Amino acid sequence: MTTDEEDFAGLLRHLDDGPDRPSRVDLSTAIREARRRRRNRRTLTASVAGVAAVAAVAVVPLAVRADRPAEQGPPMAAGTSASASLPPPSSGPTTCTAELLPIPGGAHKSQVTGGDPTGRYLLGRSYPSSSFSYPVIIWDGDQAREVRLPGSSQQLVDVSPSGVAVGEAYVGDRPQPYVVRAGKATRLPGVAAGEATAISDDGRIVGARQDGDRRLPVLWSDPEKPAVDLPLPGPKWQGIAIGVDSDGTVVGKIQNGPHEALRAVVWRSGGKPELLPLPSVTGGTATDFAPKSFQGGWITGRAYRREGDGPVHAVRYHLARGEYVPLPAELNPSAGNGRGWMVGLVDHTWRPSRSAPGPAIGTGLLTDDGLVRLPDLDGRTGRYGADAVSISDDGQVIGGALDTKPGRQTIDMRAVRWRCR
Amino acid sequence: MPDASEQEYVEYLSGRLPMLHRLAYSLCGDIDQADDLVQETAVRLFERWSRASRADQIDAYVRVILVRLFLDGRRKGWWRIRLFGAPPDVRRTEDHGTEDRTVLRDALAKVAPRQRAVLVLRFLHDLPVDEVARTLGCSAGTVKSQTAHGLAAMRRLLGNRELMERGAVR
Repeated sequence: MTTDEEDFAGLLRHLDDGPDRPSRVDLSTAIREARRRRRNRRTLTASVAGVAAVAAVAVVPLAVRADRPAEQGPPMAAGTSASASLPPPSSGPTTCTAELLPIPGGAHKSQVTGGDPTGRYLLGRSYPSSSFSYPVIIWDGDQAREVRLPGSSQQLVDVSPSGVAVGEAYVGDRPQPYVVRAGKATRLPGVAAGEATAISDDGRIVGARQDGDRRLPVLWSDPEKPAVDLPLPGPKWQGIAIGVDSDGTVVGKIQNGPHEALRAVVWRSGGKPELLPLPSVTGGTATDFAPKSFQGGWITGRAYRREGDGPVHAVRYHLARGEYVPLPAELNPSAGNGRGWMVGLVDHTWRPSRSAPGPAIGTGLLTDDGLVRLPDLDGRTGRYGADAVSISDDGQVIGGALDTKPGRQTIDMRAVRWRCR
Repeated sequence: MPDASEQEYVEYLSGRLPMLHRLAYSLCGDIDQADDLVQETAVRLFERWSRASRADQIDAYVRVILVRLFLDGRRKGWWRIRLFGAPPDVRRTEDHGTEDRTVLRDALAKVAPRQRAVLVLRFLHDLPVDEVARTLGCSAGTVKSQTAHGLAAMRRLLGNRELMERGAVR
């Protein structure tokens, strides 16, 4: 624990007083309720068993298709027709190796926070002290450049193929959007508080502005021009823009109120918001689709059903075709690329004990060819403590972090690059 | 008629209720919500008792159920549906330091739920990072970064560290 953390732990312990009246939890009620639910599930299972037996024949691993809402058709790209076919899936990398990224000023704890589609640039930050002010780093190949942003909790999250990076830093209690060009940080104009989340190949930037407790999606068509609000479907909607391409098409993650379902939305240059249909996942139609990346016409992200303890599914939507395209394996994605491939956590479901049978948690790359587990520095896989946060379009460069002391109590995360072929 | 496994369940959970209630209260900051959360945890645990009772770390298993229900509830808003209809029957008693604790608890309640869960599990329940990672179903790196974000948020919410520095709550 850092000194800062110890201070905080000491402070927080004063909250360890617990509620000052006895709990009303009643175990006999809990048992009755559990039995009632079990009975209901059995009845339901029996009534759908016949249907399931037929359907099982046609089941493929994670078949994902669009369930199109009746009130709207799927958004289609302008001029889409027969030409909007998918490029033939190219084969993805099958093996990867991990390497530590150089950190200016010595080997500090560090992590990668983003990367560019070509694989040339990676973004990250280091933790040289226990303060919350972090130097951010831009790697151009193996060349590390440290950039200072004002304030605290600084991070850069996306970078264009020409090396222009975007992100945020907190000044006081407000996040501030920043663009970094040639090592120089400039605050993006037009918002009192907000963040930049993505930049297109030609320098358009998207993100969100803070409006009280809400975030609202915005676009900077140029880093010098003030942000403009992207229109939302109604007054209670809120969210952020997560990606933009060189046509000016923007993708966002929005919801109709703070606890409502997350939906993916598309704005075609200057157009109205078009909600994407929700994908089908194991067990039915997803209640939420939270897009993480928009690259090369692919919208990639997480979908899940709120009922029960269902898993998070990796899904991808091809914008020009207007449909979800299945993937050959499961993953809890943190980022996607321009081929609809993703990186993220695999087998992240909790096991009763470490010795219980089943695969260990890990980090992986999911391509059209299947899942590749990302190894530790020593080539092993399946340990706790790896994160993958960016993937290049060819799948050959993945940015992330690894615990360099796996299995010990202290965590020592270092920024890494996986090279895959 | 209670069977053997039911008896085992009641024996185990009766002993853990204070711990679970404390954890739930730290997460929700509200007595009634904490009751709802523990009650629902108890239901879920019984549904899985045959599996859970064989786990070599039942406490961790139960904590996972509770914390994920909490996070899930934040997402879905089920906690707004009252399982217990009646209002709380006992008010918080005033005592020395209550005000400071209230300030602290209010600040914690404003931190994003996932970050709050990380702070509570790490610092209030003293769980190591990898245990917190398992509980939340994320990587150790994410726990680390959520800790940093959570601490930064607390600092912002508590203002100029006045509360921390003057040691008012010590």
